[in-house]
Amino acid sequence: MAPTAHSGGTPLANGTVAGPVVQTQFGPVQVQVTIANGKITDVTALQLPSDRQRSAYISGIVGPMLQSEALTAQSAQIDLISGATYTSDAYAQSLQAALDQAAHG
Amino acid sequence: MDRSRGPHRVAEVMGTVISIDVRDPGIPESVVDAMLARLEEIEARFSTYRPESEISRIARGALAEADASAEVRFVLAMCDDLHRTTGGWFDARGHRADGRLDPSGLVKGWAVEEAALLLDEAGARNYACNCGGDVIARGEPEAGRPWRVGIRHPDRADAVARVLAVRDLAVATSGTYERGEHIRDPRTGLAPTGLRSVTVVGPSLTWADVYATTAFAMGPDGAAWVATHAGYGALAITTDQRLAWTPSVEPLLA
Repeated sequence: MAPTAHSGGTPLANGTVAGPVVQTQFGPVQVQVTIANGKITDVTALQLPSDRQRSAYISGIVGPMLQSEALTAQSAQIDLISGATYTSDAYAQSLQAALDQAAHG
Repeated sequence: MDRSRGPHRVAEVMGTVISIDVRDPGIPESVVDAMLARLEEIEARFSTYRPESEISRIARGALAEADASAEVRFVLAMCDDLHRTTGGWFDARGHRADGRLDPSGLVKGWAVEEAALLLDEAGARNYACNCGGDVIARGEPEAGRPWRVGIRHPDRADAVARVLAVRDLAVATSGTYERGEHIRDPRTGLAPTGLRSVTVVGPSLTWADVYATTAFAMGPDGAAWVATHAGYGALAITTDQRLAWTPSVEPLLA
Protein backbone atom coordinates (compact mmCIF):
# COMPACT_ATOMS: atom_id res chain seq x y z
CA MET A 1 0.00 0.00 0.00
CA ALA A 2 1.33 3.42 -0.91
CA PRO A 3 1.73 5.76 2.05
CA THR A 4 -1.15 8.13 2.65
CA ALA A 5 -0.80 11.60 4.02
CA HIS A 6 -2.43 10.71 7.28
CA SER A 7 -3.76 7.44 8.44
CA GLY A 8 -7.44 7.34 9.21
CA GLY A 9 -8.01 11.02 8.45
CA THR A 10 -9.31 12.66 5.36
CA PRO A 11 -6.91 12.12 2.49
CA LEU A 12 -5.01 15.19 1.39
CA ALA A 13 -6.22 17.01 -1.68
CA ASN A 14 -4.50 16.20 -4.90
CA GLY A 15 -1.64 18.48 -5.78
CA THR A 16 1.86 19.39 -4.74
CA VAL A 17 2.75 20.36 -1.20
CA ALA A 18 6.08 21.65 0.08
CA GLY A 19 7.08 20.31 3.47
CA PRO A 20 8.72 22.34 6.22
CA VAL A 21 12.41 23.19 6.07
CA VAL A 22 14.22 20.79 8.39
CA GLN A 23 17.65 21.70 9.71
CA THR A 24 20.16 18.87 9.51
CA GLN A 25 23.76 18.79 10.66
CA PHE A 26 24.94 19.88 7.20
CA GLY A 27 22.25 22.42 6.38
CA PRO A 28 18.55 22.78 5.55
CA VAL A 29 16.53 20.07 3.84
CA GLN A 30 13.09 20.63 2.33
CA VAL A 31 11.05 18.14 0.35
CA GLN A 32 7.99 18.48 -1.81
CA VAL A 33 5.37 15.77 -2.11
CA THR A 34 2.97 15.20 -4.95
CA ILE A 35 -0.35 13.67 -4.03
CA ALA A 36 -2.71 11.93 -6.42
CA ASN A 37 -5.86 10.17 -5.27
CA GLY A 38 -4.90 10.75 -1.64
CA LYS A 39 -1.56 8.96 -2.05
CA ILE A 40 1.96 10.30 -2.18
CA THR A 41 3.14 9.64 -5.71
CA ASP A 42 6.35 11.62 -5.76
CA VAL A 43 8.86 13.19 -3.38
CA THR A 44 11.40 15.68 -4.62
CA ALA A 45 14.03 17.66 -2.75
CA LEU A 46 13.59 21.43 -2.95
CA GLN A 47 16.60 22.11 -0.75
CA LEU A 48 19.56 19.90 0.07
CA PRO A 49 22.79 20.88 1.77
CA SER A 50 25.34 21.83 -0.83
CA ASP A 51 28.99 20.88 -0.66
CA ARG A 52 29.56 24.50 0.26
CA GLN A 53 27.22 24.27 3.23
CA ARG A 54 28.88 21.07 4.33
CA SER A 55 32.27 22.68 4.10
CA ALA A 56 31.09 25.64 6.17
CA TYR A 57 31.88 23.44 9.15
CA ILE A 58 35.50 23.56 8.07
CA SER A 59 36.75 27.09 8.51
CA GLY A 60 40.41 26.72 7.74
CA ILE A 61 42.24 24.67 5.17
CA VAL A 62 45.90 25.38 4.72
CA GLY A 63 48.64 23.66 2.89
CA PRO A 64 51.23 22.47 2.91
CA MET A 65 51.01 21.40 6.52
CA LEU A 66 54.19 23.17 7.49
CA GLN A 67 56.12 25.75 5.54
CA SER A 68 59.60 24.50 6.22
CA GLU A 69 60.11 21.86 8.83
CA ALA A 70 58.14 20.27 11.60
CA LEU A 71 58.33 22.03 14.91
CA THR A 72 60.52 20.43 17.50
CA ALA A 73 59.55 20.23 21.14
CA GLN A 74 61.93 22.99 22.14
CA SER A 75 61.00 25.46 19.43
CA ALA A 76 57.30 24.89 19.98
CA GLN A 77 57.54 25.22 23.81
CA ILE A 78 54.95 22.56 24.39
CA ASP A 79 53.66 21.05 27.62
CA LEU A 80 51.91 18.00 26.20
CA ILE A 81 51.64 15.88 23.05
CA SER A 82 48.39 14.55 21.64
CA GLY A 83 48.68 11.70 19.18
CA ALA A 84 47.01 8.45 18.23
CA THR A 85 47.45 6.01 21.09
CA TYR A 86 50.99 4.99 21.67
CA THR A 87 52.08 1.74 23.22
CA SER A 88 54.58 1.72 26.06
CA ASP A 89 57.36 1.21 23.52
CA ALA A 90 56.22 4.09 21.35
CA TYR A 91 55.92 6.25 24.43
CA ALA A 92 59.62 5.78 25.15
CA GLN A 93 60.36 7.32 21.75
CA SER A 94 57.79 10.07 21.99
CA LEU A 95 58.05 13.74 22.75
CA GLN A 96 55.81 13.28 25.78
CA ALA A 97 58.45 11.05 27.36
CA ALA A 98 61.07 13.75 26.74
CA LEU A 99 58.81 16.37 28.31
CA ASP A 100 58.14 14.19 31.36
CA GLN A 101 61.84 13.46 31.73
CA ALA A 102 62.70 17.15 31.50
CA ALA A 103 60.14 17.91 34.21
CA HIS A 104 61.65 15.27 36.51
CA GLY A 105 65.25 16.09 35.77
CA MET B 1 61.46 18.26 44.26
CA ASP B 2 59.78 21.49 43.27
CA ARG B 3 57.55 22.41 46.23
CA SER B 4 55.75 25.10 44.30
CA ARG B 5 54.12 22.37 42.23
CA GLY B 6 52.14 19.21 42.88
CA PRO B 7 52.98 15.61 41.99
CA HIS B 8 54.29 14.62 38.57
CA ARG B 9 54.08 10.90 37.86
CA VAL B 10 54.45 8.60 34.85
CA ALA B 11 52.99 5.08 35.03
CA GLU B 12 52.03 2.20 32.74
CA VAL B 13 48.28 1.63 32.58
CA MET B 14 45.85 0.03 30.13
CA GLY B 15 48.59 -1.00 27.72
CA THR B 16 49.95 2.50 27.45
CA VAL B 17 51.51 5.19 29.60
CA ILE B 18 49.87 7.93 31.64
CA SER B 19 51.60 11.12 32.63
CA ILE B 20 50.01 13.05 35.50
CA ASP B 21 51.34 16.56 36.05
CA VAL B 22 49.77 18.57 38.88
CA ARG B 23 50.67 22.26 39.08
CA ASP B 24 48.83 23.11 42.31
CA PRO B 25 51.00 22.98 45.43
CA GLY B 26 49.68 20.99 48.39
CA ILE B 27 48.12 18.12 46.43
CA PRO B 28 49.50 14.95 48.08
CA GLU B 29 51.09 12.06 46.19
CA SER B 30 48.42 9.81 47.71
CA VAL B 31 45.86 11.32 45.29
CA VAL B 32 47.97 10.12 42.37
CA ASP B 33 48.22 6.68 44.04
CA ALA B 34 44.41 6.63 44.24
CA MET B 35 44.13 7.62 40.58
CA LEU B 36 46.39 4.76 39.50
CA ALA B 37 44.42 2.34 41.71
CA ARG B 38 41.18 3.54 40.11
CA LEU B 39 42.64 3.01 36.62
CA GLU B 40 43.76 -0.48 37.63
CA GLU B 41 40.24 -1.23 38.92
CA ILE B 42 38.73 -0.10 35.59
CA GLU B 43 41.25 -2.15 33.62
CA ALA B 44 40.46 -5.23 35.70
CA ARG B 45 36.78 -4.82 34.84
CA PHE B 46 36.99 -3.77 31.20
CA SER B 47 40.16 -5.30 29.74
CA THR B 48 39.59 -7.42 26.64
CA TYR B 49 42.99 -9.03 27.25
CA ARG B 50 42.29 -10.30 30.75
CA PRO B 51 40.17 -13.48 30.65
CA GLU B 52 38.67 -12.78 34.10
CA SER B 53 37.52 -9.22 33.35
CA GLU B 54 33.77 -8.67 33.29
CA ILE B 55 33.94 -7.75 29.62
CA SER B 56 35.79 -10.98 28.73
CA ARG B 57 33.33 -13.02 30.77
CA ILE B 58 30.33 -11.35 29.12
CA ALA B 59 31.93 -11.89 25.69
CA ARG B 60 32.26 -15.64 26.22
CA GLY B 61 28.86 -15.99 27.86
CA ALA B 62 30.15 -16.66 31.38
CA LEU B 63 28.49 -13.55 32.78
CA ALA B 64 25.05 -12.20 31.92
CA GLU B 65 25.14 -8.52 31.11
CA ALA B 66 22.31 -7.90 33.58
CA ASP B 67 24.50 -9.35 36.36
CA ALA B 68 27.52 -7.17 35.54
CA SER B 69 28.60 -4.33 37.81
CA ALA B 70 26.71 -1.04 37.58
CA GLU B 71 29.80 0.53 36.04
CA VAL B 72 29.99 -2.03 33.23
CA ARG B 73 26.28 -1.72 32.50
CA PHE B 74 26.63 2.08 32.46
CA VAL B 75 29.50 1.98 29.95
CA LEU B 76 27.76 -0.56 27.69
CA ALA B 77 24.63 1.62 27.71
CA MET B 78 26.78 4.60 26.62
CA CYS B 79 28.25 2.44 23.85
CA ASP B 80 24.77 1.49 22.61
CA ASP B 81 23.73 5.12 22.65
CA LEU B 82 26.79 6.01 20.58
CA HIS B 83 26.11 3.24 18.12
CA ARG B 84 22.78 4.96 17.44
CA THR B 85 23.94 8.58 17.42
CA THR B 86 26.92 7.85 15.14
CA GLY B 87 24.77 5.96 12.66
CA GLY B 88 26.67 2.75 13.40
CA TRP B 89 30.19 4.15 13.04
CA PHE B 90 30.92 3.60 16.71
CA ASP B 91 30.50 -0.07 17.40
CA ALA B 92 31.42 -1.81 20.67
CA ARG B 93 29.48 -4.98 19.96
CA GLY B 94 31.22 -6.03 16.79
CA HIS B 95 28.35 -5.50 14.41
CA ARG B 96 30.91 -5.03 11.69
CA ALA B 97 34.07 -6.74 12.95
CA ASP B 98 34.58 -10.16 14.52
CA GLY B 99 31.53 -9.92 16.75
CA ARG B 100 33.51 -9.55 19.98
CA LEU B 101 32.31 -7.22 22.69
CA ASP B 102 34.92 -4.46 22.84
CA PRO B 103 34.03 -1.16 24.52
CA SER B 104 37.67 -0.03 24.69
CA GLY B 105 37.01 2.74 22.17
CA LEU B 106 35.10 4.48 24.91
CA VAL B 107 36.73 3.10 28.05
CA LYS B 108 40.13 4.76 27.80
CA GLY B 109 38.93 8.36 27.71
CA TRP B 110 36.26 7.66 30.27
CA ALA B 111 38.74 5.93 32.61
CA VAL B 112 41.14 8.89 32.54
CA GLU B 113 38.24 11.25 33.19
CA GLU B 114 37.15 9.09 36.15
CA ALA B 115 40.69 9.16 37.57
CA ALA B 116 40.97 12.91 37.06
CA LEU B 117 37.80 13.37 39.14
CA LEU B 118 39.90 12.34 42.14
CA LEU B 119 42.20 15.29 41.48
CA ASP B 120 39.20 17.63 41.22
CA GLU B 121 37.82 16.27 44.50
CA ALA B 122 41.20 16.85 46.16
CA GLY B 123 41.01 20.48 45.13
CA ALA B 124 43.40 20.47 42.18
CA ARG B 125 42.49 23.12 39.61
CA ASN B 126 45.59 23.12 37.41
CA TYR B 127 46.85 19.82 36.08
CA ALA B 128 47.37 17.76 32.95
CA CYS B 129 46.81 14.06 32.36
CA ASN B 130 48.10 12.53 29.15
CA CYS B 131 47.16 8.88 28.66
CA GLY B 132 48.62 7.51 25.46
CA GLY B 133 48.09 10.78 23.63
CA ASP B 134 44.65 11.55 25.09
CA VAL B 135 44.91 14.73 27.12
CA ILE B 136 42.97 16.45 29.88
CA ALA B 137 44.38 19.97 30.31
CA ARG B 138 42.83 21.58 33.37
CA GLY B 139 43.37 25.22 34.30
CA GLU B 140 46.80 26.57 33.46
CA PRO B 141 50.37 25.24 33.81
CA GLU B 142 51.48 28.65 35.14
CA ALA B 143 49.34 31.62 36.08
CA GLY B 144 48.29 33.51 32.98
CA ARG B 145 49.27 31.05 30.27
CA PRO B 146 47.40 28.19 28.62
CA TRP B 147 48.60 24.61 28.26
CA ARG B 148 50.39 24.20 24.95
CA VAL B 149 49.41 20.89 23.39
CA GLY B 150 51.43 19.73 20.39
CA ILE B 151 49.63 17.64 17.80
CA ARG B 152 51.93 14.84 16.75
CA HIS B 153 53.27 15.10 13.23
CA PRO B 154 51.96 12.06 11.32
CA ASP B 155 55.35 11.23 9.82
CA ARG B 156 57.67 12.15 12.66
CA ALA B 157 57.26 10.93 16.22
CA ASP B 158 59.73 13.58 17.38
CA ALA B 159 57.88 16.55 15.89
CA VAL B 160 54.56 18.30 16.14
CA ALA B 161 52.43 19.47 13.25
CA ARG B 162 50.63 22.22 15.11
CA VAL B 163 50.22 23.55 18.63
CA LEU B 164 46.91 24.21 20.41
CA ALA B 165 46.73 26.55 23.40
CA VAL B 166 44.01 25.30 25.75
CA ARG B 167 42.52 25.86 29.17
CA ASP B 168 40.04 23.42 30.73
CA LEU B 169 39.74 21.28 27.63
CA ALA B 170 40.32 17.70 26.60
CA VAL B 171 42.27 16.80 23.45
CA ALA B 172 42.14 13.38 21.78
CA THR B 173 43.73 12.24 18.54
CA SER B 174 42.98 9.26 16.35
CA GLY B 175 44.97 8.34 13.30
CA THR B 176 47.42 6.17 11.52
CA TYR B 177 51.07 7.00 11.29
CA GLU B 178 52.05 4.49 8.64
CA ARG B 179 53.31 6.28 5.60
CA GLY B 180 50.61 6.49 2.98
CA GLU B 181 51.24 9.71 1.12
CA HIS B 182 53.09 7.96 -1.73
CA ILE B 183 49.77 6.42 -2.73
CA ARG B 184 48.19 8.17 -5.68
CA ASP B 185 44.73 7.83 -7.15
CA PRO B 186 45.43 6.20 -10.55
CA ARG B 187 42.60 8.17 -12.20
CA THR B 188 43.64 11.61 -11.00
CA GLY B 189 47.29 11.20 -10.11
CA LEU B 190 46.49 12.99 -6.86
CA ALA B 191 47.01 11.80 -3.33
CA PRO B 192 43.85 10.41 -1.77
CA THR B 193 41.94 12.92 0.28
CA GLY B 194 41.75 10.65 3.27
CA LEU B 195 42.91 11.50 6.76
CA ARG B 196 46.14 10.81 8.61
CA SER B 197 44.79 11.96 11.93
CA VAL B 198 41.86 13.72 13.54
CA THR B 199 42.28 15.67 16.76
CA VAL B 200 39.15 16.53 18.72
CA VAL B 201 39.00 19.29 21.34
CA GLY B 202 36.12 19.66 23.78
CA PRO B 203 35.03 19.70 27.40
CA SER B 204 34.98 15.93 28.03
CA LEU B 205 37.77 13.48 27.23
CA THR B 206 35.27 10.61 27.00
CA TRP B 207 33.50 12.25 24.08
CA ALA B 208 36.58 13.85 22.54
CA ASP B 209 38.14 10.36 22.35
CA VAL B 210 35.03 8.74 20.91
CA TYR B 211 34.46 11.54 18.39
CA ALA B 212 38.09 11.37 17.25
CA THR B 213 37.86 7.62 16.66
CA THR B 214 34.54 7.96 14.86
CA ALA B 215 35.60 10.96 12.76
CA PHE B 216 38.77 9.20 11.66
CA ALA B 217 36.74 6.20 10.52
CA MET B 218 34.31 8.48 8.68
CA GLY B 219 37.10 10.06 6.64
CA PRO B 220 36.85 13.48 5.01
CA ASP B 221 33.38 14.24 6.44
CA GLY B 222 34.52 13.38 9.94
CA ALA B 223 35.75 16.80 11.06
CA ALA B 224 32.51 18.49 10.05
CA TRP B 225 30.57 15.80 11.85
CA VAL B 226 32.51 16.53 15.07
CA ALA B 227 31.53 20.21 14.83
CA THR B 228 27.85 19.31 14.94
CA HIS B 229 28.34 18.43 18.63
CA ALA B 230 28.06 21.51 20.83
CA GLY B 231 31.40 22.44 22.37
CA TYR B 232 33.52 20.12 20.21
CA GLY B 233 35.84 20.96 17.33
CA ALA B 234 38.28 19.06 15.17
CA LEU B 235 41.61 19.53 13.49
CA ALA B 236 42.33 17.07 10.69
CA ILE B 237 45.59 16.26 8.94
CA THR B 238 44.90 14.89 5.48
CA THR B 239 46.89 12.32 3.54
CA ASP B 240 47.98 15.11 1.19
CA GLN B 241 49.60 16.88 4.15
CA ARG B 242 47.03 19.61 4.67
CA LEU B 243 45.40 20.83 7.82
CA ALA B 244 41.70 21.52 8.18
CA TRP B 245 39.93 22.71 11.29
CA THR B 246 36.44 23.58 12.41
CA PRO B 247 35.49 27.07 13.67
CA SER B 248 35.80 26.40 17.41
CA VAL B 249 39.43 25.30 16.95
CA GLU B 250 40.45 28.56 15.26
CA PRO B 251 41.00 30.58 18.48
CA LEU B 252 43.03 27.71 19.98
CA LEU B 253 45.66 27.63 17.23
CA ALA B 254 48.90 28.80 18.78
